[in-house]
Order: sequence, then C-alpha cells, then structure tokens
Amino acid sequence: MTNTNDFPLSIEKYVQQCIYCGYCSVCPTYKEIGWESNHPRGILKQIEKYINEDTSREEQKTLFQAVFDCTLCGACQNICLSDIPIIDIWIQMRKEAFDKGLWKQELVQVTEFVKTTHNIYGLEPEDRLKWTEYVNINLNRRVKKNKPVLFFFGCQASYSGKMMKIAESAVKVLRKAKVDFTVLGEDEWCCGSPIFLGGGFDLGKSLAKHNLEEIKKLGIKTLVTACSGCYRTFKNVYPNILGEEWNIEVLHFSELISKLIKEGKIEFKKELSEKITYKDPCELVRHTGVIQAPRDVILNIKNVRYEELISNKENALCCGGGGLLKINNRPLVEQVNDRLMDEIAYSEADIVVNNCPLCLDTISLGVKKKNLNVEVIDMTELVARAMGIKEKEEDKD
Amino acid sequence: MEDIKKAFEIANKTKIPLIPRAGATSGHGGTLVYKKGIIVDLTKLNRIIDIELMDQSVTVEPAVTFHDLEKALTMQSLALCSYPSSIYSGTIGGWIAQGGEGIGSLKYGSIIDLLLGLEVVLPNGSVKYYTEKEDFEMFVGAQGTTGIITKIKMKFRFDIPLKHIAFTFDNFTDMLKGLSRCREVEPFSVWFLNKHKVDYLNKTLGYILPSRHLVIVSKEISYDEEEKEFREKIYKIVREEKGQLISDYYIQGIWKARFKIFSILKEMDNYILGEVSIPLDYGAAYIENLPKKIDRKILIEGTMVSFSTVSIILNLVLKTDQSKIKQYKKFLKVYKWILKAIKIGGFPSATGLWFGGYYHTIYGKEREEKLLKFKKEVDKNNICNPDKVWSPKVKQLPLISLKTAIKIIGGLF
Ligand SMILES: Cc1cc2nc3c(=O)[nH]c(=O)nc-3n(C[C@H](O)[C@H](O)[C@H](O)COP(=O)(O)OP(=O)(O)OC[C@H]3O[C@@H](n4cnc5c(N)ncnc54)[C@H](O)[C@@H]3O)c2cc1C
Ligand code: SF4
Ligand code: SF4
Repeated sequence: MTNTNDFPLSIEKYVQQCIYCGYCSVCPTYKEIGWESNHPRGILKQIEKYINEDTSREEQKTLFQAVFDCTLCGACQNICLSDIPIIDIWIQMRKEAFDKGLWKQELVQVTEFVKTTHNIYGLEPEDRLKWTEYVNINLNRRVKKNKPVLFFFGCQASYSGKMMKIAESAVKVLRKAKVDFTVLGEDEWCCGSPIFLGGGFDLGKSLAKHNLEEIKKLGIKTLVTACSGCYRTFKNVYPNILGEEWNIEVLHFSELISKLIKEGKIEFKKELSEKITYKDPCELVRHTGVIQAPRDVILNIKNVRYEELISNKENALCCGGGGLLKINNRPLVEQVNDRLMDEIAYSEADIVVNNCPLCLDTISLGVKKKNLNVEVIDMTELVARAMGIKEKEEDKD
Repeated sequence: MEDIKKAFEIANKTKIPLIPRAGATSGHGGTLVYKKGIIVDLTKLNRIIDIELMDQSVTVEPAVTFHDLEKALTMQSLALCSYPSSIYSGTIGGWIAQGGEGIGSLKYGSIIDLLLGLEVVLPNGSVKYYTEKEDFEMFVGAQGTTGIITKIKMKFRFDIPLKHIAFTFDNFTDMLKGLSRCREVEPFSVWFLNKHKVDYLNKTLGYILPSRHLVIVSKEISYDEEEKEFREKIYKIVREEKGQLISDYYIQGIWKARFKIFSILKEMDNYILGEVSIPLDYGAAYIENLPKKIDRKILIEGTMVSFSTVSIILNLVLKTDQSKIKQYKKFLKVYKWILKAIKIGGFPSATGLWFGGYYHTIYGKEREEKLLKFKKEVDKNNICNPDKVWSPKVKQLPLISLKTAIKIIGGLF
C-alpha cells in the first residue's frame, strides 16, 4: 500500500479498533447489496488484510469496488461504537485506487473536466454566469468586487439547467435582504468536492489554492453557499489542506438566513399553506452538524405546517446521490433512493425542502419515478417564496 | 426459501454443513462456526411483510433488524415490545436463535413470549409453520442447529411513552434489595450500573452522573395520574431501601445512549467482557463479592430480565503494563466466576460457542432432551450448524492454549 501524507491517518490503527458490533449495518448501500464485503465492518476487515497480507487482484477489486459503492453519507461513522473515522479511511482508500489506476473512466473524465475547465461538466469557464441571462438577472456590478460576503454558487447551480433555480432564488433573496455580497464569476472554480471525495488531493489542493487567492484579493470575510457539498469542502477540507491561511467564515445559505431572521433583517411576509417536510443532506447533518438552522428558517414561516420525516436529523436517510455513487454505480443510487421515497410518501407533505443541489436532483428523479404528488424545492426557493419574492420579479440591483 | 431448501438438499448429499448467519453480533462466540461448512448469509431476507393491527402482530423475514422494524412500527404509532441493545445490527431471526432477552423483557417477556408464528426450513428440506410455544422451543436458543427460520410473526406494543426515574445506592446489598422490589411498579425495564461503571462513563463519555451505584427504572405512562402514582411508589421504595433519588436532569441523554454504552470499550487498550444471568434471591452475595474476588475496579452493568433474575455484564479493563500471564489469569478468574454463577442457579445469556454444553442451565434438562430428540429427527446427517450448542470442547475453555486465550482477551468475546 502506498503512503499518503495528505490526510495523515493511521488506517491500520483504526481498522483494529473495530469491535464488530455491526451497528454500521445501517449503511444504505450495504442494505441494498447485502454482502458482508460491502458492510463497513467487512470493508474494514478487507482493508486490514490489504495492509497486512498479499491480496489477489480479485480481492483488491472487491475492496475498491466497495469503497466506491458508498455515498459517503456518514451514517456508519455517526453510529460507530468505536469512533472510527470511516469516511476518511474510505477516501484514503479511494486515493489508493487512483494510484493503482483503478478509478472508473467516468471519474477520470470528471477530473479531467475540472482540471481543464474548472467545473465538473467540462463546460466553458466563462459561462459560469450564463444562467443569469436566462432568468433576466444582471450580476455585472457584483462580479469580483471588494465586499465582506462572497456567494459561492458551485458547479451544479451555475451550469445545470435543473439547478439554476437555486442560483436565481439565492441571488434574489440576498439582494432583498440587502446582503453586501460579491460573486467570483469565471474565477469561481470548482471547490474540489468531487475530486477530494475521490481521493484526488493534488488537483483538489490546486483548486483550493486558487479559490483562496481570489477570496483574499477581494478581502472577503464570509463565504456563503447553498450547496452542501461545497459547504462541507470549505468547512472540513480546506482547513486541512490550506492550514491557517484559510481563515474565512463559512456559512450555509440556511445558516445565513437563520442569522438574518434573528437580526430582524429578513421578514417572511407570505404565508405558505402547503405541508412542508425537510430532507437533511448528509453533508450538512452528519459531516458538518448543521441541523437546527434550516429548521429555524422553516419554522419562521407564518402558520407553517411542518412535519419531520421519520428518519431525521443525525438519523436522516441518504438520497443515494452523494459520494460519487452517481458516477460509480447508478442503479444503486436508485435503490438507496427508494427507501427515502417511502418516507417522503409517508409524510404526505406537499413540499419536500432540500438544502443541496445533488439531493434536489436525486430526490426529484425518485419522486418522478414513484409518481409522488410532492413538489421538490431547494431551501433558497422556499425562502424566496416566504419573503414574497415573485417568480418574474424585475431585476433590481 | 427455495434457495434454502436447495442448499439443504446439497448439504445432505455432500455432508457439508450449513451455518446460518444474520447480523453476526451474537455474544459468547455465537457467530462463530464450530465445524467447517458453508455460511448461509440471510441478510437479504430483510422484508417487513405485514403489520396487522387487528391481532397486534407483525410478520417479518428473519434478517430484519430491530432498528428497521422499530422505524416501520413508529410510522403507525406502534413500538417493539422488547429488543436487544444491539438494536441497529441484531436481527430478529438471530435473536430467536440465540434466545434473546433485552430491554422491555421485564414487561413483555423474552423473545419466545412474543412469538406467534415461525416458518422454518428444516434440515431435511421440509418447510414447517409453527404456532405453538412448545414448537418454538425447538428453535429459540437453538443457534440455528434445527433449521433456518425464514418468516416470523410476533407481537408489538402500542407506542406508550416511557418515563424514567433514577436513583442511587451507596452499597450493592441495598441496591439489590431495591431491585427486588421493582415489581411493585410494573416497570418496562430496570437497568443498573455499578459505581465504577458510572465513574468510567463520566470519565470517557462526559456524563455527570453521581458517583454511586445507579438504577434507572422505566415505565410506560399514558396519563398524568399514572405518572404520579409511579413516582410515589418509587419514592417509597427508594426511601425504605436507603437509596437516593436523583434529578431527571442527570439521566437525560443516558437512556438515549443505552445502545452506545459499549463505546467505552474503545477507551480500553485491552479488556475482558463476560455476561451471566443470576437469580436475585441468592445472587446478591455473588455480585457483592465480584470486586473482591475478581478485581476491585470491575465494571458491572445489569438489566432485570425477570423479577427474579438479573443479567449482568462484567467488564474488566486490563492495564497495558500487565504481563500477558497476569492478563490471562484475570481472564480465567472472570470465566471461573461465570461458571460459579451457573453453579448457584445462574445461566449464560446464550450458549454461543463458549457455553456449549450449558443449554440445560438456561432452558432445563427436559427441554434439552426434547431438543436433542428433535434435532436427531430433522437433521439425520447433522449438517445444520453441527455441534453448536452441545459441543463439549468449550467446557475445557480454561484449559485452552495461552495464545488462544490471549486472543480471546483481545476482544473475541
Ligand atoms: C453491542 C451489543 C449489544 C447486545 N445486546 C444484547 C441484548 O441486550 N440482549 C441480547 O439478547 N443480545 C444482545 N446482543 C447479542 C446479539 O446482538 C443479539 O442477540 C442479536 O439479536 C443476534 O442477532 P444476529 O442477527 O446478530 O445473529 P447472528 O450472530 O448472525 O446469529 C446468532 C445465531 O443464530 C443463528 N441464526 C441467525 N439467523 C438465523 C435464522 N434466520 N435461522 C436460524 N438460525 C439463525 C446463527 O447461526 C447463530 O448461531 C448484543 C450484541 C452487541 C454487539
Ligand atoms: S458512508 Fe454511508 S454509504 Fe458509505 S459505508 Fe458509510 S454508511 Fe455506507
Ligand atoms: S460500528 Fe464501528 S466498531 Fe461497530 S462494526 Fe461498524 S466499524 Fe466496527
């Protein structure tokens, strides 16, 4: 096994710490696959063998497939009786897979895209703000200005037609709340989330360095994002990669709104009559501990009819879309997603609110597949509605 | 089911044993295989088939975990009657096969009391559906030696909220007297920790529990008057038995953390774990003597599994600077004391591998004879988890090689 110094982690020590209690069988992908080789406990055992003994090509294939057949939802780590940092171990093994040339072609492709175009889709870097043209928003006066706050859109909200609504709603809300914010435009590079999740630390680090440089140039104090993947990366990975240089306050959109509500800077004028439920994104709830802020926001809506999903907060179910599973095993995403759909159906909610573009996409597909009568929206859109911002509101900046 | 039938057909032809396996969490080496064979991994049999409100029953496949069943029941304002503290990973079929008792057993009984129906593929390939207790006895605690359970119908309870009252004692004698009187309040569960365990939890998990022997009594409470009555009765018992009530504030969190108590093991470089059930009447002296006979700082946690029996988990933290010989000696002491408990009418919580040959201490001689007869009838070739439950070899555990014992000390328990 090659040595990695990026996230120094004594894998060997940790794998021996497992007491085989099996609690990590809550794993959503193991539940679908069913083999011990995909049980986090079983993966740790395979890693132990991989470190200490000669393993056959076949055994290695099974091991590396297992660390990629994972949404990195953190349910295992959250429940582990031995506090084993399972996610970090998996990521380190993914790096090992990269070093051995065992990454899937699709993942190599995404990495290439990010390397050359700084976004996960391989689209033109100068088109990062192209979405503004479709929704009649002019952000020219906000691109790369010296401001206290940066709004970081993330690749999905910037480039994907399905997620554009997130960017649009966020901008409208921030403007209405009079937040003094800037955006990076073409110089917003992918935060590196998918790259880090794949174990590609070198490329990830260069992206982090670029984003930090841009941020420093503009004297930004606070970075806000509505993407939970970006949020986790800025909050957990950048401090590790960049050290003390990374001294930026990072807020998720819902944290900012909760703060603004408390400060009396935002008012929810509009009553929403629909029954609302909220899906905690794994990257917020288990990776970064953002639990209360989104609820505070929702519960501030006038006469709101809110109900938790059966599995909520730290125990929230995974939508299946995370951890690069969409790239590595698409059918498994659907299987994992089906369990969440059962809970959404049971909630009988009219609206399921998300806090992550990836969840939004995965849940929307699940809802369509199951033909559920529920609207899937992002928190940014919910806030825009509650503030009474109209869909076709004219552009004022 | 067809696959399992086919597997038995092949096993009977080839004489290669089949060993059922589900969550692989059972204690005393219950997951381990006695004779080489083929593991039948049942984890994909994890469907909740039906929740029937009319007769208060749920029908499940065997590898449904208690956690998943609890969630499904919660959706209908229902709850589990009793369950093991391995709720996240232990499966219902596995609990039946290892003869489980756990949280809630005090009120609702052990797993056999909850069963309404069992579908089993017998080793001879036939499929049977049983509905009588005397038939269930051929599978409960039999460690999968008499067939593979494929479907279970069992009772559930309505989700009446639990209220918890906690109190402490300065010495064990008073605490055990207090426990023996708990039946007066018809509790759902009674859980206790000795002072050293309390101290260890405070130190490692950051609780602020008073440094004394702690008891937590939980009861289903439907209305205010009932709670008042519960509190009054408990207050009386505690006062009369020289205990000290403690504020609810102390136990907020610890009840939730009941599934995570084992996480203290990670703080220990090396440890020994043992579990045994003992009759309350003459077990008091036994428990009291444990610190003297084994180790002054032994950690003890227990639950009342019936009003006359407590199940206790003994946990010894081994010091890294202790020689392997000393550690082994400690291990032998714990094992000896568990055997001693059996001599005074106690029994291991399951036979597993380490307590093969002790089936009769748990279920009685008569039931053992019936089970042996049944096993011979349905498994002529002895291909279903052979020698588990009865293996005489494990009786010689204290005589096994030092190396093996050290391995066991290292956490195989
Ligand atoms: C942290 C922790 C806490 C625990 N707390 C408790 C507790 O409070 N109470 C308690 O009783 N136990 C407890 N246990 C032990 C164990 O978890 C439970 O008894 C559990 O229900 C066993 O189920 P399993 O699926 O893990 O069974 P396994 O370990 O997979 O199997 C147990 C035995 O049953 C057989 N078996 C499994 N499935 C079947 C089947 N379908 N048909 C026939 N045979 C089968 C196996 O061959 C084996 O002999 C605990 C364990 C841990 C790790
Ligand atoms: S992170 Fe989630 S999907 Fe991955 S192994 Fe852990 S529980 Fe399973
Ligand atoms: S929860 Fe942790 S200690 Fe338990 S089996 Fe899983 S990895 Fe091991």
